[in-house]
Amino acid sequence: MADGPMISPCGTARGALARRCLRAAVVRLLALAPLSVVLVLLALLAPVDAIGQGLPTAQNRVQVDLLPEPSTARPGEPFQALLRMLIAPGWHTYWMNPGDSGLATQLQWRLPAGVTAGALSWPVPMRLPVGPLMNYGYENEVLLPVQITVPAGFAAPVLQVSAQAEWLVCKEVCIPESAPVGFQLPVAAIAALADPRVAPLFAKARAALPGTLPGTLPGWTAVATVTDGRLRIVLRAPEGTAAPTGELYFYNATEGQVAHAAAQTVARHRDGLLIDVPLQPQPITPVQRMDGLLVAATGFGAGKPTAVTIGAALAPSLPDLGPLLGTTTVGGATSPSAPAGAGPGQAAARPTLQSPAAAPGLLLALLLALAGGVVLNLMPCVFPVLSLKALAMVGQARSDPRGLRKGGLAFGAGVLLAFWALAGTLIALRTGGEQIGWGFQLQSPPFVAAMAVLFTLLALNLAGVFEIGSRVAALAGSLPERKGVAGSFFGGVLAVAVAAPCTAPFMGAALGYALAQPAPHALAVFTALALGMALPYLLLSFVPGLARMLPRPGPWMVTFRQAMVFPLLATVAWLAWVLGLQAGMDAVFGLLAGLVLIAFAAWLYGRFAAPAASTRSRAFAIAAGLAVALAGGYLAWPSASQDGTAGAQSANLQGDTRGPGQPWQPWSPDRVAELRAEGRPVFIDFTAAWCVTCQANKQLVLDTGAVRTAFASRNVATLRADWTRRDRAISEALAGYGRSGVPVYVIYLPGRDAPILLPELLTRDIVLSALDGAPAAAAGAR
Amino acid sequence: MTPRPALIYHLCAALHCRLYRRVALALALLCTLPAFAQSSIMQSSLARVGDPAPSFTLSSIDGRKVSLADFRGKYVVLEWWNSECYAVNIHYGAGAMQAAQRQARADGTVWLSIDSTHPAHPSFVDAKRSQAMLKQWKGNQTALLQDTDGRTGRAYGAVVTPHTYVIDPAGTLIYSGAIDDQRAMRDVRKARNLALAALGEARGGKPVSRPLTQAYG
Repeated sequence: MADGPMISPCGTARGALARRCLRAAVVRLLALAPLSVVLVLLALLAPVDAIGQGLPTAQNRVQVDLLPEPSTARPGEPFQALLRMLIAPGWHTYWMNPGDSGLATQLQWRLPAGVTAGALSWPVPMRLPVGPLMNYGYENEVLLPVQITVPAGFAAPVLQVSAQAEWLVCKEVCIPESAPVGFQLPVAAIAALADPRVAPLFAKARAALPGTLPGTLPGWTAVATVTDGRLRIVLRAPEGTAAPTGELYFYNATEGQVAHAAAQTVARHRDGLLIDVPLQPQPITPVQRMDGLLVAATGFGAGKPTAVTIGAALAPSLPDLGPLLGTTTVGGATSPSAPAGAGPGQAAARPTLQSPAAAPGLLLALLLALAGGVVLNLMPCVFPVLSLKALAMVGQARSDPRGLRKGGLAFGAGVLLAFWALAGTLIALRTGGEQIGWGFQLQSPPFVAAMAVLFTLLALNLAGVFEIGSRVAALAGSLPERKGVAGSFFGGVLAVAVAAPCTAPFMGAALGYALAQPAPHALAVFTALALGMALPYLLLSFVPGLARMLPRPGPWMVTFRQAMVFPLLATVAWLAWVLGLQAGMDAVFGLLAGLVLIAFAAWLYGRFAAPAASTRSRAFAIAAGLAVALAGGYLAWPSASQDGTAGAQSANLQGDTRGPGQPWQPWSPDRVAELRAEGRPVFIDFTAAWCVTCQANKQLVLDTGAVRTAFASRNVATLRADWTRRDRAISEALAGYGRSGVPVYVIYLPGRDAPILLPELLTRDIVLSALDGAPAAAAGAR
Repeated sequence: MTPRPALIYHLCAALHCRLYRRVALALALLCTLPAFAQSSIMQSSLARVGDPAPSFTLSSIDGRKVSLADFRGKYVVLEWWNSECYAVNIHYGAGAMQAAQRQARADGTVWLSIDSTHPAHPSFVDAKRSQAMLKQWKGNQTALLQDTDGRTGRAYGAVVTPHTYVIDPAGTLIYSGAIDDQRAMRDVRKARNLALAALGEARGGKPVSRPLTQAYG
């Protein structure tokens, strides 16, 4: 199945071309009219035609295709394309420097006049020792991005990009293979539109590219010189940053220079690392520069790449590095026990490429987002905050219809702005290469701690420990709607802040779509989500009949307000648990101690700084309260050193394996491929400790006897991917399913290539019928 | 070892392009691919261009003893050979290698093909079948030599077939590298043969313009 076409074309190439031409002609005709915007949106909603028209090359050991990133080409605007190579198990193709033998993959372009293609970008290769030789290359799958530039005056309606891909594929034998690749894109004078179906693939390709030094590693330096037949590279980390402690290896960019099969020595000095790369006795081209790729097995620090390109002219001499602390060697081709070549055992690990899940069109995404926003109001995360808003509306509904309307609008504005801020941050970070999605802020321990503090203050406020401003409006005087319009606005912001742990039904698909799209589309989807969330309040504010259906205000409101203290405190308890999983017990203790101090500060303020109190008393209370609160905040802030450990991470997993029945295994793409290769049905639970929806599904559905029995009786392999902390592999897998947040539930059935995606809110019936491959489940797939 | 089929490229599943040299260790025989000694030997060409070419005495497939020293005063081309190799098959199948041999020998150059394949390796071909292969290909080399202990291959740092060397009449190595300039082997008949180019320049009294290239195979 891994050898089948990964993206099934929707039509023949000719039919696809005809439709693209037609669409392009229409777009061009109306390019000057404002209507064209609408037409482009319509074009976007239409199913995307065959992506990648690389001919099936059944006799080849490598399947190739060339995929464009946008769905239209705009003259004067370069775009990216991707040469994707799917390599038969056990075989490999080569890096830009293939090593002792082999040949780098190349493209012989056939481009229309004026159109140019850049050089291939090479992802980080692996070392492939073959007997006494060392080769550099790729197994299983390699994605090679390339930039294509269409000149500003390009006039044809369709851009035809063709190339002959040529590569050498080797196991013990080397076979030169080639295949024609190419694609057609409609040419339009409007902004090039990204094709959502290939977006995950491009994200994956970019993630596999090396960083640069000093670009991605500011402050780091690498200098080199050649002495005694060796290229000697000095790597220095900026002040206060630790040098990589794991294995380091230098891949020389040019072939015929370094002795690829010889071991490289890394000497650790007080002031830097010295990497010693033996050269060939007689380099085929003289070594005049240091140019290559430096790979650190354990990375160059948190959030940094594990590989960077380094390039510089040779230095006359190397800086003094202080005393030697130790040396390690790496990368020799021939150790007596080293297996020669790719053994058959490596063959099973071929990951199957996830074809991008069918993405909804923009209109559908907007509708889904709107519905998701409405339902978000009922999710447990938001409920306590929103119930307070509702309470305020009860108070105003009859007495102050104008205030009600103003409050409703302000609340809506708060929701909208908060969503935009969230979307902006999310898009900016993702553009910067971060692998994050919905709920990303809860992957940050400081954010979780800050939320716990906020909820505690809210609870104390509702309990009457302190009030903000005058006591007069104390009846409904909770923080969110304290000051009329401003309070309503703040309530909206707060509601969005607390909504993150919950994913309402319909939201997953909409957000997954949004984040694979250019920023304007993503913003549109987030706007729809915000409108959906604010909709009930806007309706209550503006439809008098509805407002009259609210219960009459009365003493019950005080009781209700006080009762809400407890859901809020429960939320704090849960946040403390999340923090514990992320940052360990010490962080939880710090948080709780900090909360005690903050509560004390709140009490000081409430007791001594009341409006009726004397000025001196107020001044004292505010000063003391502030000092205590600051101390509390300091305690509660999780320090960087309380970084979660692997042990803490797996707690979320271990907690689930208790009891008889279904054991959950940790998820990895390789494990999924293995299990599928064994022909077992696979159920994957993408979850996070901070995801309330996930926890609810776990308790109410997945961990129930009926579902466990169903899993066991069908021999279903159950995998759990824990996204409590940031995890690149999981983010990429989610993107592969067209999602950007949890929960996501995926079922693979034997004999079926396409995964089944279950809805965000599970029921037993949904899971059971999906396991049986019933149509009911397919309807749930989206 | 099954009899090798005729030259049908796409069926050559057992073809083998890299040259494997053995170390005189009995345990090597247990492996499909021979095991090798330290990689230090492998730091590519121990024979440097400009230095005296390492001497050797090897058996030809028709049982003669052939030494490099026998050819002092003549230009010598060394072509590493493995008849199971895809690249070798392409060059002989297209007739390009034979044409180059004919052209070189017409000028009095000695052309020695050397097989350094370990006898335990699946792509090892014995003397008798090598003779049949040469006959089928109508090879024009002076001799095909067997380097079963791999010592000569190691001395020259040959890593692939056809790795090619040129030695001048004084015994100095003047060229090391690829057989021609067409690594992708699209049409080797149209390629520029680099050994012939080096020979032509040397015979014309000029220095070899590209004495070192990246061998491929």
